[in-house]
Amino acid sequence: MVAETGVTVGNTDPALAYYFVLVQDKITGNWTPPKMGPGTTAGVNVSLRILRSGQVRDLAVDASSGDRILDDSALRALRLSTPLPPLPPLFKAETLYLQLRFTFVGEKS
Amino acid sequence: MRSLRGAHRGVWLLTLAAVLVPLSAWSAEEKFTIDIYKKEAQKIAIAIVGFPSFRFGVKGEDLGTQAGGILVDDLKNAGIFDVIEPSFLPFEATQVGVGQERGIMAALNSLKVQAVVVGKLSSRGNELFLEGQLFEVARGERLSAKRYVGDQRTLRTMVHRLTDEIVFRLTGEKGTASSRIAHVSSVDGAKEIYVMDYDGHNPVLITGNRSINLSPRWSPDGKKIAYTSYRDQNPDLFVVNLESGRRQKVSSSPGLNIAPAWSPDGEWLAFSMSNDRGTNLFLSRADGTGLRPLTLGPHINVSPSFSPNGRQVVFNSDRGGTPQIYVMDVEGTNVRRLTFGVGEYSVSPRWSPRGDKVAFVGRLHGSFDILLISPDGTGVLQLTSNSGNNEEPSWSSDGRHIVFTSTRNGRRDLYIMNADGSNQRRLTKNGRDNYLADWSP
Repeated sequence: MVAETGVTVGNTDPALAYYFVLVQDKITGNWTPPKMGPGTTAGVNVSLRILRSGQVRDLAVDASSGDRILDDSALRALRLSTPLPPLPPLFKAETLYLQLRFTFVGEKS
Repeated sequence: MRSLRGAHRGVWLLTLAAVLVPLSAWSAEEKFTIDIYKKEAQKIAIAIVGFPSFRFGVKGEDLGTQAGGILVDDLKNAGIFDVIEPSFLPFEATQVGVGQERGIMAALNSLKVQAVVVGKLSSRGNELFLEGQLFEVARGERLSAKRYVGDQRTLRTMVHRLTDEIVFRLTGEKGTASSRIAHVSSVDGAKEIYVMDYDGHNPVLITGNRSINLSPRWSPDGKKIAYTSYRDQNPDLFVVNLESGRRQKVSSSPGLNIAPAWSPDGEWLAFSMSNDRGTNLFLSRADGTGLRPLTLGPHINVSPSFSPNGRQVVFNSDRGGTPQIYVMDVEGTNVRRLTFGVGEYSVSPRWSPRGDKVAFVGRLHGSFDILLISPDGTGVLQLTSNSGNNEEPSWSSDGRHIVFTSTRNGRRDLYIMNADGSNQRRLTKNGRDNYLADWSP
């Protein structure tokens, strides 16, 4: 049983909040979703562990989009973004457990 | 396809959210969540197949694999493609031969790949052949079939040509993979002019006089380079013909003869000369005849760059107190200031090949950065930030890219970025200072 609670960035450690922006920027810049129909919305969730060096371990697709091409495009984005930025010194744990939610929103025609 | 609209109703699009997820009762490890959000893709999805291993030359290097790698780099550098790596294809890409593309079209189409290149190398004696065919996937239509002849040394050039053919067939625009970049490199205390491929390979020495050589500028036909040289002690203006190697001194008045710019028709050079009173812009024919002034006065007027239609010149002047960017008609009339309140001062203007922007360098918060401004003085956009000093922008001929000098890694090196500031990457890594780049037509 997994409980899920949304927390805004304001409640997160500021060092981590900034780190998340770096990770988000890097992966977003490397993500090219495939062409999809106008107005299509689709997404895939990927989880991973980030080591202190920024290397990625334990990569897994949590929730497939049902579209292998979209899933692959997310994995490619992650591969192109590795290593991710090193973990911030103020974050003390050895690894950071992270879920990435890739969401594609096609523009309405 | 599962829609996330329902699952994540109203949640965090374009925002950053952290979600606390206790894994289980015995683990307190936090699981954070980051949203990666994109709208419609703009790039052309392209796959590269073929390019099987092909060993050639005395060392038996695998030129086939090399050629495929160069093509991938070229297409990524073009900035308009999403290049699908072979590992994401449902077949062994190197096993697909020229002429066997029919068998992969359905698979590529289902992957939403829009174009595919099939290529291979072959040889006869010392001659090397590069064959490349381009297909539009959805209709299975062949858009181009080309064969390039060269040798081992020209492999990169052959692949660059194929890239430009692909770009032209898919976009209707001339590619820039075959373009070159002139620049200054410090060598043993001297500053020499080199020309290299657009990707930093194959540097060729152009000056070699062990003096100071600056401000190389390609002629619009790409056959000549104008530059300033201290070869004969005074900073004189030269033009070198790259085909014949002939050098001509076109201006050598006592004082400065610097910072040339070619008119788009290749007939005229604008440059600066100095005297006791000031440094002013002049216009002369490319052989130095027909000299006439463009500016007059006690100020410093330098760094001219023509508009693509040849009717206007953007330049740098300190007539208002600080160095700022100005525009005038090519007759020297209708002078107006372009930059107001963009940093402490603004220098090094370069008009874009499409005419819609001027790239320049602004001093902002103590460091130099590259910005864009529209020729009407609106729409200022900062392209570089927080990365040392960034100076001396020069446009690629398609207006999609800018080469510039940056000190972000210590010494001065050349970098390239897309014209919106994205995808900044280092070009020179030879351990010297590299700067003052000019991108060929």
